Amino acid sequence: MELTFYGARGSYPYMRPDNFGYGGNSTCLHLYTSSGTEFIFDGGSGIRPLGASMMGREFGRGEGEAVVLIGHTHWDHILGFPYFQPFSEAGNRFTFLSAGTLGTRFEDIFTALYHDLNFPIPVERLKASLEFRDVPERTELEWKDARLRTLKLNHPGTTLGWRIEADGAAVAVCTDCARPRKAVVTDGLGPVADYERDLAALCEGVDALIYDTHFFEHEIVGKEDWGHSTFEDAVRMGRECGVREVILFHHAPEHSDAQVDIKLAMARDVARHDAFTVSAAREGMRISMGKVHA
Amino acid sequence: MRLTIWGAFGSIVSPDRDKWRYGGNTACLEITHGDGRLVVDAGIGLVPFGDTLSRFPLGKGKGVLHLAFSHLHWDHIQGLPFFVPAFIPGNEFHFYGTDRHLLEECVEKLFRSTFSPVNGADKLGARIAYHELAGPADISGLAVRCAPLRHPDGATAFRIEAGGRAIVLAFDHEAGDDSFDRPLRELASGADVLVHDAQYDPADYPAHEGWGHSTWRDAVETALAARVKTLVLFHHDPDRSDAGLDEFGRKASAAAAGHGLEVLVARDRMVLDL
Ligand SMILES: [Zn+2]
Ligand SMILES: [Zn+2]
Ligand SMILES: [Zn+2]
Ligand SMILES: [Zn+2]
Repeated sequence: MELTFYGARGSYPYMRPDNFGYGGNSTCLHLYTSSGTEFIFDGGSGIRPLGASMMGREFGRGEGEAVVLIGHTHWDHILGFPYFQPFSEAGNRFTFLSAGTLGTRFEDIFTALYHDLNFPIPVERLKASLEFRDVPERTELEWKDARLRTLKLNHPGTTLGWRIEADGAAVAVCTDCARPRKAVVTDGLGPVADYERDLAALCEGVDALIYDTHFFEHEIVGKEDWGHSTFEDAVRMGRECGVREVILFHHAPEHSDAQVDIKLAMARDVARHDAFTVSAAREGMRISMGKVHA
Repeated sequence: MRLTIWGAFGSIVSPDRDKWRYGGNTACLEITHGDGRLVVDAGIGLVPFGDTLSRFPLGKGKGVLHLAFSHLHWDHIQGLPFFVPAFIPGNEFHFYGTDRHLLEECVEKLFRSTFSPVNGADKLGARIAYHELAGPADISGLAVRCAPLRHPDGATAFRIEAGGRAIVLAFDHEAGDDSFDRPLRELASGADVLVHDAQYDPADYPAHEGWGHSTWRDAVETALAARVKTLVLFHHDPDRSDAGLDEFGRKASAAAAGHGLEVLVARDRMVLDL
């Protein structure tokens, strides 16, 4: 399984010359299993460069197929979809797996991105085949050679954390999420003890834990209900779940490269006696786990 | 009069390493004269503009902001949910569009709980008043006139005058239909600065006919016909690199040479003093 980061920022994408190291694009990941099953996680602005690279292979000839996993539908996670070129190529096939948000189906949210007031091309003119499947939280499903599992995360609206297993490896994507001690989910989180147990199970023993580290500890004060975590939370989760690597993710747009470097150095220091490694997501970063695609 | 370009690009914010000189933020321009200020469009460029305001009235809940929209495509509104002064109680916003109901509907959509943790435009700190802008108006001490542009679902060009100077903003616009081009030439007549849609090279244009954008050559021709002093090529394609934009600048300058027209290529954070 091979994981590539196309957007590592949160909140909003932003062009600023002092953040090129980690990149200014918002959330988008790509995952490839050894047998060629493809997953895209979220459609932040990073999906534009991902789409451009996919057009250089089967997707440019209308022979591509991929599953799009949706974490949630805040702007930073979906605003790139209308600029994803492979949707325009007849023959390409995409399946969206999402819980929607607050009772609205993902298909309706996706369609709203193509409203004529806001975008010149209506959704009906996208030539690729798009299929939308509702996946509730706490679901387990098989997709070709991969196994997927979801859990609703502690974040305003409806947000899914995903565990993806294939090739004898596992990844957990937990973004965006606040600390469980105060529920910020608009439509309820359930008992905190159950949530903590299930979150730990989602992340248990993964090769890579991709975790929301939007705030520094001094920044989260008074913003605990914004739905984000710190690098300390990510390290703690990595320790509790016996993971192999913790990947700091959802960098705040106002943090320069220098500040993300500091976040990474501090996280490595906190985890200096732990068995796992710590890295910070950056655009173009690629991680191979278990068996990889030839 | 001062023109500041906070976002010079179209389509989608594109923070690519190969265009760090020109930028990648989407459309947002600020025009000031004395105490008067009008911002046009709220692409992602609105965010860095907002970041500069913390020590000013808009950063303290004591500010008034006038913001006119050329149209409501994503690249012209997408920055609004991340504009810090919108969250500060006490600020007063005046938004101008050709249809104030559609504008209000659109702003509400941007802050809807589906898309934004703000959970509704009514939760914002700033109070927003919506205004219709079609004919000549005085906004914040600036004289504003409009003309319709040729673009899917329409767009509006603005002529903004103060202190004997004139700036004309013409995007998003596809040149080539005289029923739009003639009123635009009249609107731009004798302007000090014309900021014009120049998304394409004439060689790429045939593949993008009907998409609602112009070429750098269209921009030069309009500027020459309207006897404008300075042309600013604007609304860059997110896939155009610094090298590509340098080339547009060279070709457009060559086409304008000998006609007394200066050509500039818009960059994020570019400032022009008139
Ligand atoms: Zn986010
Ligand atoms: Zn979010
Ligand atoms: Zn535009
Ligand atoms: Zn447009």
